[in-house]
Amino acid sequence: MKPKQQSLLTLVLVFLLLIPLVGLAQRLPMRFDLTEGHQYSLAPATVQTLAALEDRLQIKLYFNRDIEGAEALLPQRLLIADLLEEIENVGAPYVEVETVDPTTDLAAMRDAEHVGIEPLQLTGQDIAGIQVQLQYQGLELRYQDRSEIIPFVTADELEYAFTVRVASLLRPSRPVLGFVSDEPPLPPPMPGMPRQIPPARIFEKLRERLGQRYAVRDLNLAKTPSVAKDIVAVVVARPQNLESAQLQVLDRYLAEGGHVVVLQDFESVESSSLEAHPLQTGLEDWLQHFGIHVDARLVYDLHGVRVQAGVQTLNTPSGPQVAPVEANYGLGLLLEGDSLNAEHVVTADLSRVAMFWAHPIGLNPLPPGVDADILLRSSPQSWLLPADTPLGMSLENIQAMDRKARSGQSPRSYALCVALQGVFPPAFEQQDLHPAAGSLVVLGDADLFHNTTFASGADGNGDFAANLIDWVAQESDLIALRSRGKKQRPLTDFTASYVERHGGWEQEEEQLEAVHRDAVRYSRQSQRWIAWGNVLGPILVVFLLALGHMSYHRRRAGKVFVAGGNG
Amino acid sequence: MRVWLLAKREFFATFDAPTGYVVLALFPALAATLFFLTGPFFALNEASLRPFFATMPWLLVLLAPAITMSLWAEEKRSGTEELLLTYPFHLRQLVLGKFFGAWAILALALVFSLAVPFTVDALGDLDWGPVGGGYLSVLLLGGASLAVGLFLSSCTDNQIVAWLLGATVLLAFNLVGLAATAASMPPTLGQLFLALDFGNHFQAMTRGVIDIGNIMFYLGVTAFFLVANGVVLERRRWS
Repeated sequence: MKPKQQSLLTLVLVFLLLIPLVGLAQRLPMRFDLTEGHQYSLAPATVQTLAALEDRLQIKLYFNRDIEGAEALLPQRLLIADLLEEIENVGAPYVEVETVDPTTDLAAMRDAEHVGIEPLQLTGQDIAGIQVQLQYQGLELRYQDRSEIIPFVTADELEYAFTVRVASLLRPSRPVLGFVSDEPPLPPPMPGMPRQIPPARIFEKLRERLGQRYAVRDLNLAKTPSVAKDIVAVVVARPQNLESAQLQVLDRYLAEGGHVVVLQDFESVESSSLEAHPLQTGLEDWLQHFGIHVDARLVYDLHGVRVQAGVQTLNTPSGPQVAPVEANYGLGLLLEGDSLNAEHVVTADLSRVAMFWAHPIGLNPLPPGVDADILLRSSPQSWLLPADTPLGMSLENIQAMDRKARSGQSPRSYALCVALQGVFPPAFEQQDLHPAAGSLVVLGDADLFHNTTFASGADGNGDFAANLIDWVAQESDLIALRSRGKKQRPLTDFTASYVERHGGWEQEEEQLEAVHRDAVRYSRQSQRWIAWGNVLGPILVVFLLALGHMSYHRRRAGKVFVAGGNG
Repeated sequence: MRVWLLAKREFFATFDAPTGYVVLALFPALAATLFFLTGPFFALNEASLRPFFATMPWLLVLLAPAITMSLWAEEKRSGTEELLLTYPFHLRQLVLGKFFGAWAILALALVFSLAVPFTVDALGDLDWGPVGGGYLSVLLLGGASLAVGLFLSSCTDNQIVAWLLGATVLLAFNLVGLAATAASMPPTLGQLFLALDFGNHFQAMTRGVIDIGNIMFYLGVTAFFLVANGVVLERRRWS
């Protein structure tokens, strides 16, 4: 064979050898997850759940292959496929994954419709006009004669959503959650009609969120002699005028090892007018028995939500323009960083929680054998305002609240949610009691789980609610799953550190404003220095290296010349 | 040993001309510009280097052919290639020597970009796992890109043509995955395009997950183009 032909043959042989080798390597389940907490590997809770499978688990992934115009979905889809592959490997031989495309397969489209997997509608514009695209990204899980659906799955949520649903498939029935509130009952379902939700059912979104994992059952304490045995936890949402008999039911449940979450408020606020109507809860003495005192005053926090407090007219080169005025609404608390207990499983990996018109919680001496943890607290720049403070979001009211808050008091951090664990001594005389360890969580606010708060996109509040219930229901493994990949790694806040160095947040309003302006300038300047330092630094180092290299060559050339001259 | 000697010679020879220094300074400076100045790093307020690594495939499209464009083309143009081929080196050693020399330049350029992760770590709590994965993936992707560039440099005697060819082929390797998302694409071909896409394998590694499949993909591409490079030289030797 001629050398030319031989070399070409070598290339072909190498190609033919590499194809199966690379293809085989793609199928090898050998991977190393270098991330902190191995966030791209299956968590122990998922592995444990998959190990409990005794029969075939069919996973049907509804994916449309054509994502032209929505290419941004591609990395997300690759992550989903990657995780499902790992699930299939770990769950072998019971787990089977099948991918179908409802946009090209009519039977798959019918199946998707039948099980309730709806496509996400994305609108885009091109030269042909506005285009609407249907993107399927749902999952159907079948185990024995039961099935579970994830209508639209995202890579972040997949593992939690998957594990929770498989756990549900493995159980004969879902765990039950008791829900106590003064909301009106749901109207009976009408065949063929969507169920109308009364507007006064203000915790419906919370029920929906908790319903992903639990069967939520409305509980009327006045008509129940005792809490049913199958109820894993009871949520008491914004109670009103609870009577002694109702409290006795709750008291017995808690003393016998039950788990109670209380969302305590002293007012109900109308969403449109922000008018507050005082509430009598009837819970004060009962909570006091366990060393908890919820204050009726309101917490005002400098680290609040930004709201549009009015409009202003600006003179611009193109004439006067109306622009919105933003202000810090101190009664809307934005809890993040140190405000979330980093040591507690419920709050450790949360990004933020938003609370509205919250009340501080004081802890008195606790009953023996009961421990308490503070889960949420306001920032150190917080004050208390009287319970009858007007709640409006106008600039005048916000400025008036700010002045009132700062006058006379020193700012400090206030506890807003406490979790107690242990054997609770009954507050009432109870017959035939069987004491056991339970838990009691008290929040100084119910509006954080109001429908409007959920609708405003406060995702952290939903995660907090789900974490809280999973914790009291002894399902802590799932909490860690839910928070995976959501850990925030914020950068140094140059503005805040500048303010801290120049007198802190307790200064007079005008002085603070001036310091804040300087802080913003300082922050921008620091960022610019960092950026340009990183851009110009390597250039400078390479330039110095080049100079060094040149002078070394020149010296060497000189030496050779001198040596030659001497010789 | 001979490969090592050749690689060392190629590495130091690069710095006899200003081009080597330009590449060395340009790579980290451009990466930092795209990350800090034109990218939303400060606005995102997140101590993460994923946007930094996301720019790397595009930087390599420009810079990998710039490193390799002269390696064979210049030898051929100046007539030193024939002389080189008569040296008592095996062709394999010549190709590997040039390749490892070029790879060392890229590795040095990457060392200069290390200021970026250290800065981000000083500003926030950086997870170093994905950073390690990111640098490993840039080295592997860079190796594959250099092998492509080296092969194309051996096909021409004009450096500019070598650079243009290299940049075009690398761009195609980075965009081929997008074609897989088109409706008109047959599924098998779509899968093949996705598997060939440099970016898909790269993204998986920059999130901090090192998969043996992705490593083998880059090593396979590198090996194929280095063999192809040898074949071109072999054919030329006998022509």
